[in-house]
Amino acid sequence: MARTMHLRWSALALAPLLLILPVGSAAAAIPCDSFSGSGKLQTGHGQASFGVAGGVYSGAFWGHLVYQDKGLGLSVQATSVTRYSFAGPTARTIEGRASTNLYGVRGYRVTAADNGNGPTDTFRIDLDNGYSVVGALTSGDIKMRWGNKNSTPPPGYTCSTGNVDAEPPAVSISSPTAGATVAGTISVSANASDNVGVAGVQFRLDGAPLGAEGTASPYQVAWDTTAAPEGSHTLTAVARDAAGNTATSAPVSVTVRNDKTPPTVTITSPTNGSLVSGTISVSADASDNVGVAGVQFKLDGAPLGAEDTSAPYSVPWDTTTATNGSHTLTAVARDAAGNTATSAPVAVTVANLAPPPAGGPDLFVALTNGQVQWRSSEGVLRQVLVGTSDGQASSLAFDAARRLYVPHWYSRNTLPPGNTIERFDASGVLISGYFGTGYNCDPSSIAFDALGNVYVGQADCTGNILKFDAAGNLLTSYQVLTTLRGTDHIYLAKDNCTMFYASRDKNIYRYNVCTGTQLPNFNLLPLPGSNAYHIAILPDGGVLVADSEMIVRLDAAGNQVQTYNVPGQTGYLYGGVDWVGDGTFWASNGFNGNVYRLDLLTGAVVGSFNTLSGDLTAAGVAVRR
Amino acid sequence: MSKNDYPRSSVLVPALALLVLVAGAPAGLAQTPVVSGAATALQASVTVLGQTTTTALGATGPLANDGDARNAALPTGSIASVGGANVLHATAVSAITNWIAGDSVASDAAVADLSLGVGGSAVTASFVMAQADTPLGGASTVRTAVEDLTVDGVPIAATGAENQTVSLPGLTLVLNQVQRTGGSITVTALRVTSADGLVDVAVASASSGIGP
Repeated sequence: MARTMHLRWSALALAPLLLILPVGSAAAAIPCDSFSGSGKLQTGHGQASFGVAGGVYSGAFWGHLVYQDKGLGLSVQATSVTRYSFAGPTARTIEGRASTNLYGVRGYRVTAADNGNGPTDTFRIDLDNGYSVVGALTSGDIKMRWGNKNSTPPPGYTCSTGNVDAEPPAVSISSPTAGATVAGTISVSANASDNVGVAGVQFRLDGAPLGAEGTASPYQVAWDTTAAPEGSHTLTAVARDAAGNTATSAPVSVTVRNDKTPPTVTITSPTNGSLVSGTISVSADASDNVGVAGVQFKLDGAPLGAEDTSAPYSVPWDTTTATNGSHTLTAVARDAAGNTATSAPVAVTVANLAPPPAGGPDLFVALTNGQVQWRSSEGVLRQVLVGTSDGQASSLAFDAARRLYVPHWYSRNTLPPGNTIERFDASGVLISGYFGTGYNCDPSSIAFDALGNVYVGQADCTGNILKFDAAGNLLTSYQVLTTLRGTDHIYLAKDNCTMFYASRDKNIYRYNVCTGTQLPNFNLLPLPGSNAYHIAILPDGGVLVADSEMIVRLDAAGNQVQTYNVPGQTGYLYGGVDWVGDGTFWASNGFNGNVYRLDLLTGAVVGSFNTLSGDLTAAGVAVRR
Repeated sequence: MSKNDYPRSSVLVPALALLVLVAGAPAGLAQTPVVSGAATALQASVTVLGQTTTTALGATGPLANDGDARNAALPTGSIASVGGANVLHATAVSAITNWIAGDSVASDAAVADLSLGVGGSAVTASFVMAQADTPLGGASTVRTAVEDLTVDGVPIAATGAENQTVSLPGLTLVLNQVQRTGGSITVTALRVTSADGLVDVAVASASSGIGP
């Protein structure tokens, strides 16, 4: 039943009884009437019933509330009425405390609207724990009643002469500011005020509710902008007071720009397949549509150093902390929005030399029966390495992992096999199987490039130099110039391209394995000995040659600069030679098994031993530096 | 909420007399009329061995004067050997401002989930309400609602007619029972009496009146 309550209060204002109303203060204006009603309504849980009354009498708030939500089994009974206020021309609100059977003692607010008889009336109840039910009555009625002579408000309140608070709240969005670019989850805040009180502030995003209405200051809501499309959006805030007056803030336009594009990242150094040692710099290029926040390098999936947050992105890597062998490098770049990208993996092979044994590097001597003598730097026999082949071991070499490669010539017997290459690990244990296949005949010598590729010289048949990858897969066969014994002994220069080799004649040949080109001979004049067997390129670029009757040294330009011999022996067949690195070199006299260590400058003998394997059994020597 | 009582103040009498003159009270109201009103959610009278006991739940009691307003409520209540209900609500309000047109006296009462046992039968209703309204200078009006009424599970439709009587073995129901006395009116939404007259239950009663 909607009555024109304000007219009635205008008349009532004439009554001298109302002189007791508070005057001259900022007291809140409230209705000085009453309402009463009961009924049922449908809730989301089922049916609810209520009985409610509110008003002011004799300077106090007046009324009661009993409520039951049958679906939830919730029973509410007000224990106090502490507020009575307008919620519209024919709607009133009471507030206070209530005991409940489910939630303990709670604050409550009930708004009842008398819109006619029964079904058009509405009832709303809110508890301060978030419970809220609102709806039209399915039965029952709510009636507004005028006050009477004792309808005086509590201290601090005045009776509203207009009966209805018609003044809307004021509201403005304080954050974000207009024109802002936002990303991620931000807080949207508003300032709101009202002449009586702000009942709630509802934020809106492009007109749709953003979060739940906030009923207490500070008015703010968290906005996950990643859920919104990129681009411009409009935020508003709608404030309401208890009388139902609403106000909408000025719109605030913002631009959502969430970076959803990951960076790109590529490792630029080392390159895939590199052989690395010592401390190197691992570098990467990274870019992002917004900006790269950092690059984290990883070694075999584990972080390598700290994240580099500024370009150029790099990290030093002490490869000696890793095991020799294959490893994988990656780089993970991230941007400020948390997008990440991982580079393509870069496989590298760590090849760090172990420190030489005390007293100098060990010496290995190849024997014609296929065995190898492992000796100390003083020539003391440590171990005899015996493989599965009796094919002549002519020359020896070591890879980056310090494994010993032993090429075997043909076998004197049907079994064990010849024309094979066997390997021993750094501790001298035979590695099962053979390295590579397809040897034409008499593989005789080994060389390695910086990438770990393996070159094999062959003493007979085609005499071609074969190139294998580290796993033993044949890559290339180089048909080079040969004379007497193919490519009996090969030695790769530091440039990784120029292959020096001997063919048991009086020359040192050269072939460019990078371009596949035969190069001019290294020696400017024919070598003085009968046959050039093994060669060794010195650190200064010069070459030592085991030249049958003597050892010959040539300088880096190919000039013969010195010969070496140990006189007084029964015969001479110098076949093996290798330098130590301390200004000396080892040379083997295959004629009698004597092995000498000579001073490179003076030619003085600084050490010697005999292989005790018999005449014509000692072949090449190799120093494991 | 507990009942509030606002006794008549002696100082109001001359003030009201003055108001009648200033506001131009209707002719004939030379004396201050008397208001009446009360509401009771559930009341039962039970006679045992010749002794009658009356119990009222959710009762406002009568208005004391034209400046009175009363209310009563209980979340649930029951009366021994009769039954009970939930959400018991009752108000009685004098809305007399200045004894001018539009002033009124009104009351209302209601219960939910009524469940009674009378005369060997079970009487239930989901919601029962009564309203009485007496405007100054006008005719009193009443309104009742009895929702989902059943007796022993059998539905009984409320017609809305005054004093709708339903006689059943063991008990009698009267719906929308209205009684007018002088300037006041009393309405009981549902009255249940046992055939032997020993149990008399009034569910949702409201009265209002303005009399000389």
